[in-house]
Amino acid sequence: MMAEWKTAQAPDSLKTLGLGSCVAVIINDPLVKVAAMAHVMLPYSKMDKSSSVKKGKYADTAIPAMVDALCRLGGRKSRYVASLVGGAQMFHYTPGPHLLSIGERNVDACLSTLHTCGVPVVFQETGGRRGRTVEFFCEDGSVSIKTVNEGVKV
Amino acid sequence: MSAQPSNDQLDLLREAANIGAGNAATALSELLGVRVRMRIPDVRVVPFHELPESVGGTEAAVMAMYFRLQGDMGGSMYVLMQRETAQRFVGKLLSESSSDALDSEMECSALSEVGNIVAGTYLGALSDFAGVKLYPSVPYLAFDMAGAVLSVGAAEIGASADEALLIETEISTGDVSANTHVLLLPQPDQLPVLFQALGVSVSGR
Repeated sequence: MMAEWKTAQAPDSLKTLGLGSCVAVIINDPLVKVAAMAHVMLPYSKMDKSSSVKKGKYADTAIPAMVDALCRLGGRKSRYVASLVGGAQMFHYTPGPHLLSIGERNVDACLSTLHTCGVPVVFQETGGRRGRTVEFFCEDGSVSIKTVNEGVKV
Repeated sequence: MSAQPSNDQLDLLREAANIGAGNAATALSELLGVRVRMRIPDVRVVPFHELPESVGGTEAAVMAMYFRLQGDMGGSMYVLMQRETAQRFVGKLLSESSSDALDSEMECSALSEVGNIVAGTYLGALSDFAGVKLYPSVPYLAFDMAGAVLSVGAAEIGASADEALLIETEISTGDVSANTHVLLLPQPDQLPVLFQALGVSVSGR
């Protein structure tokens, strides 16, 4: 689901595989047990060079779209909380004109957009050099993360 | 991608990739002293999430060597293989019968040398054929999920496309389990540079 986002409700879960520099942003309403997950590739849509912006690709477009979609599913914005997973630096190269790697810039953009939308971050596992597969359980708001070398942790 | 490449353009890319990969396969064969075969390169436009398909899927653990393309066209290049294949290559280079780990600096640098030769020969032959300047950066190594390592190349081109033009070649050394995949992901908005050099009209379909 790279560059896309989707929603789910309990008892279902949301899952995205093989996150590298991308970030999985999860927003959920713990009371009505609805959640949305985006697999964000890039920080800001103003970078986009194509004619139409795909909302799930950028932090600043995916997050507001998810907030709206959750409201339509019966969630209330005052209860929303967010989780962030991913944003690793898979390879150790100097990121060119930017001081931060694309993973770090993705995480920064997610944090800043969530702050603007008034959604607090309750869980964050970002950075490092590991690829991650993440699953979010709408029922209890728990997060399961799988990596190549460390197996699964919840 | 803003404009889908025409069939003529894809054919020419396949021919150029064939020459590049053919030279890379020969160089690898000489380096390792083993027989090497290669498949006709596959050139296709794929959504980002389908990039890891040929190497076993998003969660498949692969040894990845990543290169940024430099010169007349930007983009990314990957040399991907199973960990066992990487260990066998390193073993051959270091004249060891078996190598359990890829932990030591020497083993990583031996593997980087394999990557350097494959990427350098490939792009050198492609450059000569097309008449452009194209060469790889130093190699960056990672052992991780295919989706995670390929997301770096996808992010490089993500701002100008929703899909990637993937130029892929499979090089095998004897048995099926030892396939090495060479993936080229050109920067979509700079592809016209290559098309022009190859003498195929940029706008024509």
